[in-house]
Amino acid sequence: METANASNNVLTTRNVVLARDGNRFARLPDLDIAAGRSVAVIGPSGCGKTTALMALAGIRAPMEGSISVDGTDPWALGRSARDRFRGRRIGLVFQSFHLVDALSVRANIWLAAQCAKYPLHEPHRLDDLLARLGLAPVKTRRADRISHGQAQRTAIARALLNRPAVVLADEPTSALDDANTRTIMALLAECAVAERAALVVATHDRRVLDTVDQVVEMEKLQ
Amino acid sequence: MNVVELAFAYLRRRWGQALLSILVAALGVAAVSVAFVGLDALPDAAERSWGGVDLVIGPKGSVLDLVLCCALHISDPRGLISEKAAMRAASHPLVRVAAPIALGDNVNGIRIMGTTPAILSVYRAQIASGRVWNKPLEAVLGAQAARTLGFKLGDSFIGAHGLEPGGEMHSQFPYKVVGVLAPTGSVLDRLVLTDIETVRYIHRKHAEDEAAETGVTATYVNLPDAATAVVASYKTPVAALLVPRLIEANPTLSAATPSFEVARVMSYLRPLSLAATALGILLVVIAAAAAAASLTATMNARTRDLALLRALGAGPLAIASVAFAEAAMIALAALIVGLALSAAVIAWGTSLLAEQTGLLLEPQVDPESLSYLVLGAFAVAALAALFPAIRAARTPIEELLQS
Repeated sequence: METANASNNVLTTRNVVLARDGNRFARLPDLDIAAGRSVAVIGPSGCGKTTALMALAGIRAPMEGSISVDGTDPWALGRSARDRFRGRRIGLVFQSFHLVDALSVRANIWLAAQCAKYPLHEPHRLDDLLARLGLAPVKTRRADRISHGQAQRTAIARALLNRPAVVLADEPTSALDDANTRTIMALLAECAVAERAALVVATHDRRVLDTVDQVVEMEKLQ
Repeated sequence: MNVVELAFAYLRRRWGQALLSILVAALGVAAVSVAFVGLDALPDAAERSWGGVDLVIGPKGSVLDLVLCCALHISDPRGLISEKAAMRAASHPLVRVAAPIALGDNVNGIRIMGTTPAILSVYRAQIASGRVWNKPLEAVLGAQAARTLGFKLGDSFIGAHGLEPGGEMHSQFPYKVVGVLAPTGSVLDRLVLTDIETVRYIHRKHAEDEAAETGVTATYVNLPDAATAVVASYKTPVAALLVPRLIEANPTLSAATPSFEVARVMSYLRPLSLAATALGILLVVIAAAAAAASLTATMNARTRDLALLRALGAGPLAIASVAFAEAAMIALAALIVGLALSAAVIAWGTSLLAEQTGLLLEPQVDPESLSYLVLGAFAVAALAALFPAIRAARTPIEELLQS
């Protein structure tokens, strides 16, 4: 697989074509995203936005094209190395947050470092994130006993813990009202800037568009 | 990933199922452990109890009864023999020492055994305080009997007829304590010893009184040298192959070897031990199957969580280890609960056995058996977790992003 030119950008893609059932079905417009910048990948449901995020995260291989995250093509790595790379360099925020209900808020965030075996050299990193995202008062509470907003912030904190180069957010505002949409997008953008990470949001929610630096639309090939 | 913390959190989340698995497995561990430790300790307890007695000579009949009555002092005598005839039979060059015994009375449930001072040599017992009896109605107490009865040198007591408390008191024959034995670890510790002629005299009087009332003359009246048995100790173990056979040739006497009889009883108990072990293993397997089913079900319900862990960078091995860690925690808890349960059962059984039979179990934990038990429990746990672990390791991350 060809490696994209990644100079000055933490996320670069070239000619990424996605497959479904072995057929080319969507193309991701080329991306060049610098640290602290944000991009929304838009398109209707089923256009391949989530599949594009999977390709960027090293979860599902693209059919064609190249991806560079912080200078590394995740698809050039072996499976274990790719898993580790994803855990350390890519932060994921899922549509429904996917917290582990059996664990506390703090343990959920800590999972990011533990799963990726990330050597967290900053002793106060986790507490700083908890404080910055207003989670300190609920840090020992189990994940199934916190509010929707707290769960959102926990998911964001988990994505940011390992100081990723890229944060990928999949439909983070679906089913949210306008106020919450503004809040969550502001929080994601603010965190991306503060953490010097590129933010990619896959969404069909038009309300998000004026909160990001750039908007690209998925191209359907069928 | 902190596998232990996560596995513990998952277990806590479904504590009801986990507790059930732990309890069933703990019962299995306890059954195996009791079978290993408890039943193995029984022959040792019997051997300690019969002390130096290698041979019991008694009336014709069950040799096992003879051992139970006159070596272990658990059951009642079945008849009387002539002391002279039995001592003559025991006077073999391979017999180190022999002593007649006569049973029939007790003091507060503790047997009074009429015998001769040679009994001390049979059991290799020594006087701790006082002296050996040398007159009628003088008594020497075994170490434990002295403690139980609370008698001191010079104290007097009255014996009761029979071997259980509540018999007719022989009030006209008060005993005097003249000595206390040092502990031997044998049944002698739990007996009161006196001159055999004293026992004969008291029983002859008792039998004559009864005969006057009922017209039936008891053996004690007809047999001047009546004894319950003669116990003997060999010079060499080889004697066990020869002496009993010679005595069995006597038409009125039986020869019983305690070690053979107890081994025979234990061979009857062996299927019980095997059954307890099998039941224990069955319970452990049932617990493992329940844990496996429960783990599989929870792994299915946890697909989302496991996919998340993979998405966060955990490798398949780390994901699989969550299932193994849960099963290992169940096994560990079952081992702790099971061993505690078996210790309680063995302690209860030991106390019950001592109370009922006087046999003192000294259960020994065999490190090798214990290590097999621990390894077995963890191996079964690993087997139970294998399928759920493989499923967990294969959880596709895509499901997470598509859910």
